[in-house]
Amino acid sequence: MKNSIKVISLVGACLVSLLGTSCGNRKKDGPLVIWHDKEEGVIDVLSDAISSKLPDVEFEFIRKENLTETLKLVGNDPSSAPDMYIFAHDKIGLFDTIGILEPMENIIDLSLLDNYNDLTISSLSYNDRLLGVPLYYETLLFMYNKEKMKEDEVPETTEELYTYMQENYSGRRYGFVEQHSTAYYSAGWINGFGGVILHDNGTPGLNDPKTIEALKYHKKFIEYMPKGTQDYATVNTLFTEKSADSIFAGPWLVTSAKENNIDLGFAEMPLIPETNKRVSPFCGVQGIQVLKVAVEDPSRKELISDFLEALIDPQVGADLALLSGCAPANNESYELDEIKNNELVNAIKMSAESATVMPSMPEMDVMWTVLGNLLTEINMNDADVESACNEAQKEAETLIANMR
Amino acid sequence: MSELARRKLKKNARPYLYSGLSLLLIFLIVVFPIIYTLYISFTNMNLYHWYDFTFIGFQNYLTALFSFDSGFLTSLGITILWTLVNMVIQLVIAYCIALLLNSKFLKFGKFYKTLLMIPWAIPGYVSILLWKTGMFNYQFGLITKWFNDLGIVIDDLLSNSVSAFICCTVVNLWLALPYMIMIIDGALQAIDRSFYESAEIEGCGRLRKNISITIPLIKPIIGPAVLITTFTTFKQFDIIYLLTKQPVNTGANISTIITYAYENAFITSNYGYSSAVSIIIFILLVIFSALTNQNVKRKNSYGEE
Repeated sequence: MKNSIKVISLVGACLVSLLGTSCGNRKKDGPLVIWHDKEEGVIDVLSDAISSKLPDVEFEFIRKENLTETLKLVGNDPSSAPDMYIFAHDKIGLFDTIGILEPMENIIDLSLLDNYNDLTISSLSYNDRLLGVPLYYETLLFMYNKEKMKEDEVPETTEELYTYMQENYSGRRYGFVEQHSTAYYSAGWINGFGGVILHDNGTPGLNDPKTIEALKYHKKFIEYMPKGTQDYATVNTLFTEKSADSIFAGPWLVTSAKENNIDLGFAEMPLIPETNKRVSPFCGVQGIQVLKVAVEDPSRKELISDFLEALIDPQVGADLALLSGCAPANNESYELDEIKNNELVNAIKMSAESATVMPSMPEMDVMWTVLGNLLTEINMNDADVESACNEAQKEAETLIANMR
Repeated sequence: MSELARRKLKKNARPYLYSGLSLLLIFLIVVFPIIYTLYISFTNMNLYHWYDFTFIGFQNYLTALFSFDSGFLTSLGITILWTLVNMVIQLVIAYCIALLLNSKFLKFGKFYKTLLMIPWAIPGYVSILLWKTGMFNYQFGLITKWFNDLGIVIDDLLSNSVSAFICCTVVNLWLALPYMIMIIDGALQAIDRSFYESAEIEGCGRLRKNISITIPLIKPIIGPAVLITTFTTFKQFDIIYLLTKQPVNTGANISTIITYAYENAFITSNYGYSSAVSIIIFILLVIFSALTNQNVKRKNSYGEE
């Protein structure tokens, strides 16, 4: 009987402790908590900057692997949610829709961000409110192997690129490769043509005449690319193994290209003669966002305000960008020598001049899958572009309707 | 309460008391999520009603059933075909390998058994990606290389629905065979040798011994394992999704009901709707389970009906 009582007591204690944790203190206290999914070096820069400028402020960076899903579940719970989080801008629409983000205008003086790159400010804005402080950004680059593609062969237009691809195609060697059936990588062609993936009002634009035109034009390049599925690993390996002369890739390829002794060159995205616009890839911005539950207490809000202002520092922006292989969002950082002389950072800045703000509307979650499937149908299954676009449009509309 | 009734109650309550903590855990891990999913399926919980969702009756179920177009029926057909093909091949291969492992002429049997268990020891996700990049990749995979060396030009195996289905089956067999071999091997060892000796005296050949002794005797032992594996195969997601849909859609169209539901419900972040879809699939599985269970019960105990 004694054992039975022990078991009952144990179960009871467990239940009480469970209830205790879920019904605990509803007000945030303790050190400032910042969730992130970044590498250690980036967090060290941020920690050092805060520690030196705000020595009395206690804070804790916590790495979360599944940040988006976790935040969706606990974002309005003061006892479980962080005060801030660092993440790519493309989820701010989702978090704002579920109502967990605090606009920056309520926390900091927005004029402090006057010197920030417009693209980064636009990216972190949703429904005309700035929802985070941009830290650094990245976009796709046109990279080429200088050993294979001479300076005078670097294409200025997409037609020149096409001719180069035709001339250098052998079945084992390719003039240019890209992940042609991945939405993120192919979006640049659609944007460059003036096409639309998702309109500002959240409706899909896959059957817009310009989108259809872009996909028709893009399809002709596939003939001179490698056969088979072009995923991240395959395409990058083709370039690093010197089987491909040029590539559309993110700055994350630079390290492995250099490790493989590629004499790497960067060029502007090629110009599309039909529209006289450059291929315009999406731009991804990493920023720090504040949760509503964190600023309910005015004294905590003040702490968070100081915390953010400490990060609006050109040197912090420069250090972060160099460590993560990206470009600083703060234009003042470009005055610093280490940034001024950095080829990669300047290449990203140059490419970003023709880049497009990546939509952060929640509807985009649906569009990535639908557009990916559409590209596969067109580029790999040789589907008729117009009818495939119309079908994809219907599918996207149904899925978006199902979101509500 | 009389002393006798109290004693009886104490006696009856004790097993429940001892297993109370386990039952509580099972409730929290297994039963509670199902009940909660059922509850969410009757609400409008989505991005626009994340914290303020309300009860909306069967609306999500109606949307789910009407949204499930011909694509759903095709996926259901593919799922049934996938389960049948995989289970039949799996059982035949596992049975043959287990028989060979139990052969009295076999040397280093334990070593082979250890080798055969290796796929089981590797996490499924890793195995799938290894097969995808190391074997099936069109540019760098071993299979394309072997065919190229033989002078045969093949297409990307994962871009065609039929070949992608075969590739997925191969990977599923690689992952699932160790378990089935182990179960059949255990069942074979449990058979009394005297049955075979009597059969040999009666002049039975190898095939007759297999059909009349081995298979009927191992049936009740491997029954539950077959049932579990059938369900795992039926609701398989990782292999098909990772080989043909992620990170890039390879062009093959072999959606099972789970991958179909993922692409048509879960990406919408509409939890009410997705929960309704999950409950529909759950009901399908329960029906399937009830039918199979009935069959297993009927044919239990040495195959007698």
